[in-house]
Amino acid sequence: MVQITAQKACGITQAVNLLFATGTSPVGPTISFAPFISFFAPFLT
Amino acid sequence: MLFFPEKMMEAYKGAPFTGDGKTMFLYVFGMMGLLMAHGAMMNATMRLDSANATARGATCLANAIGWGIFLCIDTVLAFELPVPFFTNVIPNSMPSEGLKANLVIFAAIVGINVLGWKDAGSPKPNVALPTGVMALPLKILIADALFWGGGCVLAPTKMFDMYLPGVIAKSGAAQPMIWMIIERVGWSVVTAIISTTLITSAVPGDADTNYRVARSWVYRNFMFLGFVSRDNVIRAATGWTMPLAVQSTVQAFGITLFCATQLGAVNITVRKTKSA
Repeated sequence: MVQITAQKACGITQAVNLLFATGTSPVGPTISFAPFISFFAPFLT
Repeated sequence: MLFFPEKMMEAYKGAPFTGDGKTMFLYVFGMMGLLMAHGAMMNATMRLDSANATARGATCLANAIGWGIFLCIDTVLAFELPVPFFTNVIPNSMPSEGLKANLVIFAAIVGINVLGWKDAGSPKPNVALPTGVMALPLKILIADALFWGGGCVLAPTKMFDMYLPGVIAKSGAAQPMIWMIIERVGWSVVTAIISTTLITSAVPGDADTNYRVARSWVYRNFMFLGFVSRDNVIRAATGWTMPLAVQSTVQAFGITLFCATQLGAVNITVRKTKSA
């Protein structure tokens, strides 16, 4: 039987709520931050 | 929804909108995001060690019910089930695959929270109004939410014709998506009311729990005041008329000021966790 504590359940729900609320779907952050990454890339390499 | 709405819709492979339709879609999508942020705030405070364990269990139950509601209304939509009252035609701009993927996520959240609720001893709270410390601000916040949530669920057309007359009518291809999101905005508000009554009634009169829940609402309302302020920019840029702008500002500002003042005035020591 799978057991999940109430704390973990609330934590997971908080994270999913935040992902939807901010609009950062799994691919969102990569796309959104791509211009910043390409801007700073020459300074980092 | 709040900060990267278009990127999010790209992930769902949704068709982009233009003109008033785009602005209105982003407007209601942002509202939905704000309400989901409120859900995050409530869970963020109730998941802490210092929160009451019974109230935390009730939070899991409320999460399961709230996400269960979304599982139901999105199932009706994703499979275009002939259920009256709910939107059951998928907007052309929204591929059904995205909706079906959501169903898996929603079902997982419901399952996780049912397990969390069981782990907390399966508390069975009542749907009752808050009592004790911060009860009045919480009741006012619930009444205000009932006005908005009830309006969006029961009479969305009347509601949006009052506040933004004619805007959705000129939103073109975005209209079905806008109405779909408005329906979900309404249900999000309803689930926040259910959460509040379940969590606070699990430990009636518990000052710590009431304080945590009220604080999440006040945070939400401060974000909403930012929305109200931004309306001026939208109105100037689009030429939309907002005939009830003053009334809604007074309503939002008055309630937030009262509740925030009560929150600050309450003589309470909130227990800290190790990380605080």
